[in-house]
Amino acid sequence: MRYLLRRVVHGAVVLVAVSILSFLLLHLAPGEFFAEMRLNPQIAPGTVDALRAQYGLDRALPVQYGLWMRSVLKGEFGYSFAYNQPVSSLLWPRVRNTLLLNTVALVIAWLLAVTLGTWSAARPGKWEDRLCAITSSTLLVIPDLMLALALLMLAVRTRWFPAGGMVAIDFADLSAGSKVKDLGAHLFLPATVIVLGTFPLLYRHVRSSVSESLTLPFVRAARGYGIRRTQLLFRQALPAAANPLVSLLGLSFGTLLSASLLVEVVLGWPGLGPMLLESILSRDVYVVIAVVLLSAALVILGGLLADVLLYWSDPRIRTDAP
Amino acid sequence: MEEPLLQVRELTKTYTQHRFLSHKRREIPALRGVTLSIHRGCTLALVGESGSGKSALARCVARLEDATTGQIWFGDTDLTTLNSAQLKPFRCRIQLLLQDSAAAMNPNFLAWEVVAEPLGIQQRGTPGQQKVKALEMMDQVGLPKTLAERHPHELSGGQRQRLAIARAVVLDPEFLVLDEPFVGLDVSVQAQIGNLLLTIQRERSLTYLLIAHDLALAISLSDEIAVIHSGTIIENATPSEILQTPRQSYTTQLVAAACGPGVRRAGTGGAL
Repeated sequence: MRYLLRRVVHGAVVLVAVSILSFLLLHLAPGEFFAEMRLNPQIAPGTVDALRAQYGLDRALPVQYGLWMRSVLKGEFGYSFAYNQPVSSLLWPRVRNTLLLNTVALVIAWLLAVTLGTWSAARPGKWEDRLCAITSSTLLVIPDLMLALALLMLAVRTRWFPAGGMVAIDFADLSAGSKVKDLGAHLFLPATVIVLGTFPLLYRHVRSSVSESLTLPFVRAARGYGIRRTQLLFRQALPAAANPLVSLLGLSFGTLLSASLLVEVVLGWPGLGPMLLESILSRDVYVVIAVVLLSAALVILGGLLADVLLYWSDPRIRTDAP
Repeated sequence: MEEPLLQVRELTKTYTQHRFLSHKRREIPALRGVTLSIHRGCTLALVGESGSGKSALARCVARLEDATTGQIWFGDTDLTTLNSAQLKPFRCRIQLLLQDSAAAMNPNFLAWEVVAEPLGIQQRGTPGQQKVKALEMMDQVGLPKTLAERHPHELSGGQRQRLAIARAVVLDPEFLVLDEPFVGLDVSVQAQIGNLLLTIQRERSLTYLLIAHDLALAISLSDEIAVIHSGTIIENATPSEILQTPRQSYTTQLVAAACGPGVRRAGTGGAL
């Protein structure tokens, strides 16, 4: 429990450091949201100055940070210049969409990787193993962007799946079953791209960990007792290979908000990706900082989750060294 | 005379290593035509230096690895011709005590679960009966019940070795392959484990193939000694013959090393 508390405090310190750094870096970069307005002859310089003062941009940087911090504590995460509303109200619907997409994709990618990785580790050098190796290498060298474009082209040409958006225009009028179906159809394309992008790496980790654990003496011993193959793989070898995979799962959890950014932009998924890109281009700094902060929080949470899982699953970690 | 329980005939085992960035393979012969036989209730000690092929032979006899050529007769069955389903009944009759007992136990299991594991795999009895039997076996090898709920890494080396022995005999096997059972144990614990192995052998009329690099220990525990060198059995004799009239110079070196200064007494059979 003390360990957990210590980790939470560490996490909070890292988050504050991340917020200071992103705040500083974004303010140090040349240009700002209102810079473009100054070029517009129809807007008086006084108006721009008034706007800057309204958002507190004329104050010293530490004061700006303090004001922003106060707004974070209120749960607003600052104010968006472009949308003229608190960042949180902009962010949450998009965070929800991004989380939905990434959770579905990562769960599928992990299920595929664990099943295929374990299965092919048990058949080293056989054609099934080679096929998986070739497929994963091929997917590994294809950039996500190309995969997304190729699938988009396929969807547009064949009209098998809707291209772009999250739901159909008449979504509100659909029955509950049709709503799920419609959402599933819209999810298919972006989720497939993320699955194909993340699967090869996960597959390779699972395969190498399991094939290593198959040579462990206690797994061999179980073979000596005549254990069935599936039992050997999923009850002995896979749990023995779990530790590095649990750490990888923690890292995966950390990417729940960031894994799909590019895919969302290309395939028009209304998540954080398009908004982040737009905010970076228009220097809507508080939106960018909020997204960075959320991603950092997820990475920290992912690490914590992995540690707790390891602590729970491996009795050797729970034992204090003599 | 009675037929031997185990007969190994002309057994070879070759490992192949693929060369980096090449289709060429390097062949590493571990066993080059090993022939030996062990009678029921007896102990044959296989002695040799590291890398001589002792453990490879142990794994082949326990059918954890396939031999390249040759036969392994257990009673009137050639084990090398059986597939994994046909091997299952023999898995109970032949057990292997692995070299490193710490690594040979699932770290997630409790001590009693380690012993009960073979019963579960062989589907002997209900889980409750398996636990009772496991605790009984732990008692027989001299492990107190208080250790049953501990994990293997929380036990001492000697306790772990006793646990490994309990697991090896829980299925009531006829034949036990003991792969270096004394590695990493201090001298007094070695003696305790040696005595435990002799007691269990007597009580259950077990047959042992003892793999050891320590000739002195092998002599005190076995009825017959086979000296293996570079994958070949170079000498096969009783402990007293090995001690008094070794025929090969390699055996003479082993005897000299075993009886050298600072080494325990080397008796001929019996308890340590």
